[in-house]
Amino acid sequence: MIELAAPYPAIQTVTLLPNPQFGDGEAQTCEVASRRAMDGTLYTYVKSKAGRRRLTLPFGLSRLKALELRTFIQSYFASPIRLTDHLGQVWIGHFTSNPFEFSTPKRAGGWPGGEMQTIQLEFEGVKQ
Amino acid sequence: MADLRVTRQAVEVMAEDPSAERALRVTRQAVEVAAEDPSAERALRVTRQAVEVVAQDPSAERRLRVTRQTVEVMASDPPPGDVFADASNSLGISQMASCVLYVPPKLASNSLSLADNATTSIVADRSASSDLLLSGAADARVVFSVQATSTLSLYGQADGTLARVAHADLTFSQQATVAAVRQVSAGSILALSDSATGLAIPTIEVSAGSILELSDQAEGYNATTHVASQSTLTLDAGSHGNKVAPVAATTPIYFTEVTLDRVTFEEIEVEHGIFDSVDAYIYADPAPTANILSFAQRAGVVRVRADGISVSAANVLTLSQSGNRTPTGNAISQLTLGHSATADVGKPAGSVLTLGQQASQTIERFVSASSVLSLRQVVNTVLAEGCVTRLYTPFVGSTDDPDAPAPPLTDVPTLERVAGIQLYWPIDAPTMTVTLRGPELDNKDRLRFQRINRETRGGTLVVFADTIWPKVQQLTLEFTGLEENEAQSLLSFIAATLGKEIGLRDWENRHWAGVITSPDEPIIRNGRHNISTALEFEGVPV
Repeated sequence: MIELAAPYPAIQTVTLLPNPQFGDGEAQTCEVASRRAMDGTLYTYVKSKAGRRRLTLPFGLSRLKALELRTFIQSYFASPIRLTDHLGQVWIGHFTSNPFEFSTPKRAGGWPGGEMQTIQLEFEGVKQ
Repeated sequence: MADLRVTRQAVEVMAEDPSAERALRVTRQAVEVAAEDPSAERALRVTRQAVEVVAQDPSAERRLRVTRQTVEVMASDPPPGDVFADASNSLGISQMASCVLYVPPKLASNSLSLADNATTSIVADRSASSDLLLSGAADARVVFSVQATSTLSLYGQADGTLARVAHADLTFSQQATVAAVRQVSAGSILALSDSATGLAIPTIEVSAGSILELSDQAEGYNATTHVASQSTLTLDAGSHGNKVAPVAATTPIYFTEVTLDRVTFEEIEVEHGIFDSVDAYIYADPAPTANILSFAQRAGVVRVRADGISVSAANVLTLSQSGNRTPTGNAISQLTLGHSATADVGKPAGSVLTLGQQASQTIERFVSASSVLSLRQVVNTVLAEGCVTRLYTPFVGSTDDPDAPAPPLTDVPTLERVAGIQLYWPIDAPTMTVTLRGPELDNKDRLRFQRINRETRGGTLVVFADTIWPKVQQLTLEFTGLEENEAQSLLSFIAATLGKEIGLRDWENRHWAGVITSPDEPIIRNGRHNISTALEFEGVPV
């Protein structure tokens, strides 16, 4: 279960999402620029980005949960968010997706709203 | 030839008792010198010189008595052809005046005149000398004044062709001793007359010199000071003691010389000598000394010419003083002063005035310090039970932060299934309506926000979005299986409402207000009764 809480640190709204689908990602945001001098010496210039990481979380949500997430995004798309991932790790960061695209790939009988919507969230934050 | 002859030498001293009793009387003093010119030996002999002083003691004891004084002078006449002639006189005078009781002022004095004359024609060296020893003493137990005076006049003359020497040695010794006195003085008055005259030419050397040594000493029970000065005249004045306040020894020295006026051949007195005084002060508890020296300088110019230059005046004065004191034995005080004054005039004069002012003021006022601490409180409850991951269950709490974003709606949206979608225009009172079948799956619902993402130098991500910045909601719908009339109606509707806000009712019976952003989207006839198209709509739910 994924927990989205915002705005951080005065949490007012908490949204609980199911675990993301496979294919989620966790990547560094750091950058390295390598330059090689005329004598062959390699010089590197790095940006550590303070340990911030980029999370890619694909979700398959019910229609109602997607609507909940949609309203959550509309409210806190620019606010700091506390994200507790399915591994129990707590991250503090922001949504970086733009636009947020909800797709309805199929019908989902028995799910609230009768449809399944997918969305892939991109989140950059620092693990606490 | 018996050239040397001493016929008579007589000294008569007459003294008279000034008192009424006239007890002291010196009747006669006679010196008889008899000279005999020998025939063969040519020897000169003075058999007797006698001085008889008869004095009568006025007291009953008759302690004052002067019986006789004898002076014998031996002389020898050199034989003819000798080149040496010698003449010498020896004179001894002894006077004594003593009195136990009160004695009126008494006077004991000797006046003696010696004249030695040695003359020869051819001599290698001739000399004339006189040795005179005078001893005068006056003692008294209780006196008002004790005085011992010796007056001596010597006249020595030596004449010669080659070398002449006139030399006189004189020694005075005086002493005055008393038990309790107000003043003790010892003085010597000495008149020396030396003359050397060259009568023949050539004269090798003519010199006249006087060597005089004076030794004065004043002894007291409490003080002794020794003062010495360097000159041809040596003076010793001393006073010593244990505890005294100021002790001073002063020696004024001057000479009164009786000489012969070469013009009038009369005796005249000439005063010359050293008029110095030396003062020495010894303090048992010397106080520190200090020199206060004040300088006042002023350089003023009344009127300065146009071509004038500025001048300056400066004085440089250097003082060097040193004082040493030796508290043991002889007390010697030595003070050396070195003064140096240098003045340079003619340099520019400048005035440098430096003023430094500082004003400090401390003001204490009542200053209140206040800190405003804004505390925000948030209450939120999460109930993770049931199908919280599927249902519309936002857990929205309460907050008093006015800047907090608007929370999501907690009301569960109503989703009512309806057949197809409907486009209508205008929104309030639709006059044009197009109804299409429901879109295919994979329809898109996009949320696009205007926001700024920036990274700080440290790599921190900062996201900002103003509330008035646009929030775009875009629907992408694909339709298939449309009929021709549906497709044409859509095209007509798009053409009619191009750029206008239309209404859209979706398949969940939600109404949107917005515009169609893809008017050029074609309709594709895939087959009979199978026309597909796409529609992009940008709007907001109403």
